[in-house]
Amino acid sequence: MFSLLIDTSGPYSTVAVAQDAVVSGMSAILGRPAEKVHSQIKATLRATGIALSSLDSVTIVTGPGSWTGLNIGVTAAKTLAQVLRVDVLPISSLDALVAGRTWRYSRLCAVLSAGRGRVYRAWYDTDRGGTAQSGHHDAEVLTAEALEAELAQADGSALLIEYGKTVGSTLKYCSGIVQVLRLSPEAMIAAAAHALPLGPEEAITLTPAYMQASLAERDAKR
Amino acid sequence: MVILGIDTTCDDTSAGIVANGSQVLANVISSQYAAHEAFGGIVPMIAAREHTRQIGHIIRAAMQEAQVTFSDLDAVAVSNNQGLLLSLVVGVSAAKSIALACGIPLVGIHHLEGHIYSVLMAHEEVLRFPFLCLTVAGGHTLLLRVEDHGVYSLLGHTRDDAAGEAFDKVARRLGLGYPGGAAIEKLAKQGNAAAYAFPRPMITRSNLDFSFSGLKTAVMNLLDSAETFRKEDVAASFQQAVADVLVTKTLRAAKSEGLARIALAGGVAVNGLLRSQLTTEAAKRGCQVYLPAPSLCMDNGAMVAGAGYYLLRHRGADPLTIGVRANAPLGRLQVKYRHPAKYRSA
Ligand SMILES: [Fe+2]
Repeated sequence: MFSLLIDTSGPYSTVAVAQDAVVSGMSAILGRPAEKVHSQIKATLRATGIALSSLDSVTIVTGPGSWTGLNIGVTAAKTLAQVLRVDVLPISSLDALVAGRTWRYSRLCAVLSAGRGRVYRAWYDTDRGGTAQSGHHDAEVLTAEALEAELAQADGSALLIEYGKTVGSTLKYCSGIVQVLRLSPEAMIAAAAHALPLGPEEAITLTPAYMQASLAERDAKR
Repeated sequence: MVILGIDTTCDDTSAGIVANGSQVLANVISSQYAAHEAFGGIVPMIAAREHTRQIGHIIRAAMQEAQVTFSDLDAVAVSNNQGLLLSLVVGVSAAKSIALACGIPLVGIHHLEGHIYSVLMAHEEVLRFPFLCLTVAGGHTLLLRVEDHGVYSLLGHTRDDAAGEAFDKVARRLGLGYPGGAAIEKLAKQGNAAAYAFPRPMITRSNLDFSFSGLKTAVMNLLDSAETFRKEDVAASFQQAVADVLVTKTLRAAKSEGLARIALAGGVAVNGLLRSQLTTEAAKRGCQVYLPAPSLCMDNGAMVAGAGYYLLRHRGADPLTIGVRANAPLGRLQVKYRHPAKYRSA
């Protein structure tokens, strides 16, 4: 089983090719996904000697994250799937932040900047082996103050995992912080193991998971 | 040669399939009007999401209509220049994915080239270079000298509102539906075009630039101050003022450039008065006017595919690394993009 993995949610665009859940090649490039991500896909496949036509699935990080990047990545993944007639595995950037490695904390708080002092965050419990448990669908957008209050309540049992630079450095009640600069292919593979596969026809309607409304939508609600 | 053309420049998601540069096999357009209506203007973030949601459907619908599969495509063309960045990236990402997965050439075109080629597609045999091209739409009003494939020079452009934008704003103020151009044209048929003497901005100036903001304001002022008015007369008088300016300036450009062939393109090119007045007045001066098929006037993928056919031969394919630009040079001209205000209140 060959799979292509794409992440354009953050500052780095990551493309990887995996065979049976083992990474056979990857590339990470800083910025400009509109220009670079397709040539990155081509180069990564070429380097691993795997033809596009032998792919069985495309895993895509659907968000939250960069609005522009996500639209580029989601469109790329589902269009490739449409042509190649393969499944799309949509995964969350927050899930991928905690997936694929073991932690020494019982609770994990994954965050990424949502702009204007707000963060996207999701909570995860770990099992005895220190692996984050999937199936947490409590992801939402919070202010830094609200996040602070949640961490204070967790009382030292939680580890904050932030994607890039968010608000972690300004928090008082934070027992530990891990900063992740880009999602690893291994993390994406681990998150994809729990993804609900979409057939190429179903994937046609896939849109990024922004989780927050645009300013115009927020203004209209007021 | 079968080419898929994609246009996600602004708020319409479109894909067209064209054989040999002129045979339109399919042309599918999905309007985002409903998604933006409540906000009184195009919201770029929503536009991007709607393009992402629609693009696969539109491509599939176009291929079904044309009865082709991905393996039948010889190239994919996309508007990567001129428009809203957040919108452009979606069409470009889809086009690059198809080029990559099908192993076919990618052709990036300037959105305005799509409009120019919408005319060439219909008159390939007779519309010889050089010619004059008036492009009138919701986002642009400009006069170009088209020297050859991919070679253009700007003769004049609007200094404020695009003509199509003025149509939409006046239509909105008159309480007409969307699209505004068609609604005004319909109403104007029952009106007296001489009822109101609206200004013809810059009509006597020797340069080839346009201005429609003053005309729009004059119409708004009349509607605000007049105790009674006939909507039909306002629509007819306004439409006549726009047509007079466009026709006068275009013929002046044809004369000064020594061009006898005039192409009319863009969303406003479907306007019956503009079409007939330009054709008649041009004929009096020995000029011939070339019109696109009405279905290729508004932003669409087929015109992009048509442009892609010719530009692939004359400019060659583009690498997968082409970017997007909001205000992109077209030949020697730097086109200033204005967000079409078709949904904003006047
Ligand atoms: Fe246009």
